Amino acid sequence: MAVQVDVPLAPTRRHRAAALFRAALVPALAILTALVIGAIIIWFSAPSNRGTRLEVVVAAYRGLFAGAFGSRVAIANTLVEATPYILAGLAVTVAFKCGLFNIGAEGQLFMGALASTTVGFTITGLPAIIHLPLALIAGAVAAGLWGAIPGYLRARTGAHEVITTIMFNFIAFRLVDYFIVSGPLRDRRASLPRTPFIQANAQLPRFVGPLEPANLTGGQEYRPLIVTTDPGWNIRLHLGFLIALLAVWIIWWLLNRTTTGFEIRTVGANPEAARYAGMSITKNFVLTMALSGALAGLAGAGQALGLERNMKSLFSSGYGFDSIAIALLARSNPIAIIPAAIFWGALNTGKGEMQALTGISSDLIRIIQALVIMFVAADQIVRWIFRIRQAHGEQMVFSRGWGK
Amino acid sequence: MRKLLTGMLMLVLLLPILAACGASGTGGDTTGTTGSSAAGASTAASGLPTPAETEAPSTAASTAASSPAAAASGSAATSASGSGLRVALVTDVGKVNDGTFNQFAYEGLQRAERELGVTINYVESQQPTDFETNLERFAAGDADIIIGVGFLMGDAMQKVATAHPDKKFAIVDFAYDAAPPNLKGLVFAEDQAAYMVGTMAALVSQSNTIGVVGGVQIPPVEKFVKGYEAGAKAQNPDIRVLSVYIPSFTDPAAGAEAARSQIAEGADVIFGAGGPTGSGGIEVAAREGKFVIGVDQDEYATTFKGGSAEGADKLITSALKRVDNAVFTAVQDAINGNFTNEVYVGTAENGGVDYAPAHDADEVVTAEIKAKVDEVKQGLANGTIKTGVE
Amino acid sequence: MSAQQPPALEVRNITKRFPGVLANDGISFTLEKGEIHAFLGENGAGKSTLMNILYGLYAPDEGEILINGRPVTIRNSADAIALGLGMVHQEYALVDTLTVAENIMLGTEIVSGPLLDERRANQRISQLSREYGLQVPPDALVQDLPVGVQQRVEILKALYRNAEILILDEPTAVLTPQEAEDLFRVMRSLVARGKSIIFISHKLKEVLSIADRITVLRRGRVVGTALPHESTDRTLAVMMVGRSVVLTVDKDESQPGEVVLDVSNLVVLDDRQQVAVDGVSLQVRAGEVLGIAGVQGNGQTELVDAINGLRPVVDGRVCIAEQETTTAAPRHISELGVAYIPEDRKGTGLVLAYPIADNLVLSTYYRSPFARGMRILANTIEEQARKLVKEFDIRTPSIWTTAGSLSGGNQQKIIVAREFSRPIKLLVASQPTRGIDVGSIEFIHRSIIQQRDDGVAVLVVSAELDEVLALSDRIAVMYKGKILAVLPQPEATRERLGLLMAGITDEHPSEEKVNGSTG
Repeated sequence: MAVQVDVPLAPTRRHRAAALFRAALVPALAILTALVIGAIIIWFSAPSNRGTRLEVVVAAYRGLFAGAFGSRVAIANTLVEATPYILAGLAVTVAFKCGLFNIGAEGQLFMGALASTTVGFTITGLPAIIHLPLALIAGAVAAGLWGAIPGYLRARTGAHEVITTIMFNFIAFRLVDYFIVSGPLRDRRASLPRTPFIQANAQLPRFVGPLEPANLTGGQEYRPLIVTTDPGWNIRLHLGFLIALLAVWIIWWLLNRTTTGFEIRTVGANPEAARYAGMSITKNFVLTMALSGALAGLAGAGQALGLERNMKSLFSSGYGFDSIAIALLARSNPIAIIPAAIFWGALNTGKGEMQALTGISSDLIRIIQALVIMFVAADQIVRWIFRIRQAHGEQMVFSRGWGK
Repeated sequence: MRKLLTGMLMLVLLLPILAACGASGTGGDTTGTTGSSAAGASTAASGLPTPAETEAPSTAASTAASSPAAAASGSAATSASGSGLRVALVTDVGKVNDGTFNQFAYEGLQRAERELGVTINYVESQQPTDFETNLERFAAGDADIIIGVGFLMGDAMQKVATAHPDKKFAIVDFAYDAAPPNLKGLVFAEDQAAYMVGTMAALVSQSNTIGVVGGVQIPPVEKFVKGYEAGAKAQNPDIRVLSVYIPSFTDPAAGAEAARSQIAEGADVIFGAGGPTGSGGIEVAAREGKFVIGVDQDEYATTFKGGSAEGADKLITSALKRVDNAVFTAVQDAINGNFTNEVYVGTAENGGVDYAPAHDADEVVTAEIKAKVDEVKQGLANGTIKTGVE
Repeated sequence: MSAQQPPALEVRNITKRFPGVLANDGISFTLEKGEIHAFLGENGAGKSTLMNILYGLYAPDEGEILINGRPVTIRNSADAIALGLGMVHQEYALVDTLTVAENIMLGTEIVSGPLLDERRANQRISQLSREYGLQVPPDALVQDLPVGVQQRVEILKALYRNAEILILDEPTAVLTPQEAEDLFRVMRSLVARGKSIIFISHKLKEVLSIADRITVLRRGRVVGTALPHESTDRTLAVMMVGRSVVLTVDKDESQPGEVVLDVSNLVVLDDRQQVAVDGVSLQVRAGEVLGIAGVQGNGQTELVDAINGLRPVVDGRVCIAEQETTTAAPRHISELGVAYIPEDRKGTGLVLAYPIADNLVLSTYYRSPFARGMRILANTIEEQARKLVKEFDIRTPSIWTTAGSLSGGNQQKIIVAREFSRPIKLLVASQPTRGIDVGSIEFIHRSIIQQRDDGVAVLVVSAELDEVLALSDRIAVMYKGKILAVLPQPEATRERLGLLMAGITDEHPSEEKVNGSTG
């Protein structure tokens, strides 16, 4: 699905700028339209005790913005929220590029988090320079294998990856439930079903912040990179964000500047032509799904090692599913994943402030997100509203159908 | 053709918007309560109030903000001395009108607003990852007391409370071994609630066999199961009580399976004591014509969708944790200067646990039976009856 | 037709501009009642634009359209249908899982109350098909019908909606010669009953045999109108491309060398797991062209797929350059020096969403000089693209234009350029010039012969007899998965090949035997 304006191997700068503008236009207008419709919804559902309807609309969006970007802490929270979205969004994008629809990012994220948390707390005495990469790699590899299986099944048996990855999600959820709720990885001393805290050397350190009291972190001392007592710098942004940005660059490079990426994109754009050109469909399906899984696994690892420092049974609430939306919004462009994920993160971070200020249900954010996705997916609506003409060959190609 | 299609799509678009208007209206407003919660609340209010109602509001589910009776029933225990104090609620994943602890906590807050003159605010969490930011939002902001709902918030609560020693925090359904001085756990004597519904189960049962489907075997669940058994046996020493623990709170299918096998063994009253797992059990049992008992909140409003779900007439009661009273008490303590980190335990005595009205099953739960259960409740409250569960 | 009667359709001075292109430049023509008016032109000459204007899909920038002498405005296809225009596109707009009758009724259902009145509809369809000699089973599912019959369904659909003027857009491109003959018969019966037909084609011979008048378009303009009995395929070709086109390829005697492709007793299944290639043996030597003639669907596609490793071999073996490649992967085969021009240029040969530059390295992207390690070297790819675009005369605004936005001829040139840009020993070309303009055909034919002269073994598969005759040194005829005969080009007359293509083998040898015994 979703094969669209591909970046040529060596486009001119002007060409690239024009293509960028064209590609960004529809998502940007989709967001605008969704926000306008959101405003209309607020207008009609505004509580009567919070001022005039117009005031409520303005206050709601002001609250949304302030909650997401209004302070250093807010911005940090937005970026923290965006971090798993970037990685999982990339995971879905890579699969899209190969013509595969990875609905399994959520399950892969769980497997990644489980593996890296396990490595994070079971192994002791390693220096951070070894322990942290080891934990990250464990997460990526476990989730990569988890993703590769549906890829292999698709290539060899034709079992559609949409079905298999959904099923693998459930298997992953139950496995995690087993290990964490009743199984061997549960921290017996904790009243919540969760694993023990990871070793301090396995954490993805926060950039800035105070030392956290060890009694809250299972006795582990998680040092930020820069220790400060200034409450204005008590931010949760961690190294995982940089890893996400690095992953974006690597994936962009891989897709657009390497033979591997060329094969992945060709298999996605036209598998017949790829076979004709001597590319192996099986190899690319398995490789892409492994890569996709590994990225989703990193998203989970980042949440576990950088944010929670342990893994709870209710660990992610749909980062993997939302990432499909983010990949659509970014129109499968790895670079565009960053703004799309930050937008998504901002909506999630800002909604609390919006509700506290205006009493508007935070469901509104879900509605806006759904509208954005609808407008991006059914971009004809946006084109019709804004009278944008479709450039040749620019439309999104959705799934080539099932089986085959 | 293309225009027509687009037009139709736009129409389709309008549907979620209209739907959203209704939903947002109920969620966001304290006065304009409409939609599902109002429906649930009004049905609930029409149910018979529990006889031993003290000065506390009517039943939990009937304490809708719009109910004038509830507003009038405030007996002004405290003056508006708390005026100006700001109390904020962070819900568990869910909404302030979803019929769960979230709603009861919010109702407790609303009562505090009316009776104690505090200013209230809330944020609904949509996912567990929201907890910390939502708590932090109020802690770093202008709230004086912050209430969190649900044991899942335990870690986040402790963290934020530690970081903000100047603010007061309370968490519903969770107790710490060593809580920070500004964090109060609000828990409940599950055994007493279960004892009451166990009494009722024994009185309603014809087959002399009753069942309970428990969730993960952790202390609160054990207290439910044992209290239920004790209550039933006290009423009828010969009664057979089938009990099972299922190692998950979120497996309705396993709960249903367990309920079926208990029915096969002759049980005609099933108590579901384990979150969605237990609810799955009583849903199936009710559909198969057996009497059922809910847990935590009045499951008439949740599992049986305010009476519209099949088998709603089989729900004879629910073992209630009166989160509203617990929250109200915590706020009251803060105003009176009595707020400590000592765990609040809701009991029959302080109105922290109760049993829910019979709603559509009130033909089965006769006045006689109710009188009997109220007698037991009275006994639990004044200490003449012990559940025997530790 | 009589001077009093206004023409069925008159187009005056139609102009249509697209950004950067003048697609139609003051086009005028008339279509008389009962006439077959053919439109000839290279790809991109403006035929499709003109037809889309007539059918209401584009609005003309200038000019007017008159139907039966009255000026009309056609805003959309509903207007066109109401005015009695019917169009049969190259790709049929049929619902595979519905019956013929249901497809025809679609959008104009006859109803009695809330129910479809299928009986009345079926009656009308049967009546129409009898009247025009269009044999179509109304109850059959469209997916079960051969392409030629599906096309008749499309024509019936137009007639069902009372079309007086039929526009047939390259109707023979997908048909076998027999099906094409059937179509021409239907067309004649249509005009005999007063319908008028606009017929669009590339194929000069067809146009000459069926049309009453021929209008030739070039670069959006009418270059001229000709009458068939006053024209030859040569004069028409000159009008189309504006210069003399060599329809027969000039070539010297072949100098066959060692055997490069050796296929023996090959058995291959088709997509439905039926035997499609049934024990084929053939050899192609360096420096010669072996042509495979035959009506499409007799196993040619499966044969070339199997040679190129794209389809599993059930039995027999394939050797290329003295190496067994029966089970080799496509890449291995390509690295042995095999170039393959596939039959389905859009579906197999190109990635339409990719720019030309990327398509030009589709099979060599991983090798030096286009890649070092896993890194793709964009500069050499760009250089290569500029060089090949020039060398192979690919007409495009830029090497970054997507392949999908080029005309068929230029798309095919991309494939040819790519396949010829590396050293090769064997060239397999399947339908190398199907559906492309004469200028491109000539260019591609010359390139193929050039490869032969450079010592490459060439296997050409084509449904066009003329093409096979023009290119080949030896001609094999394939029928029902078998090679019936291999003839040297001079002995391969149209008549002999025609009989073989129809599966008739014993007549010729017996004839020879008779000749031999008498002589």
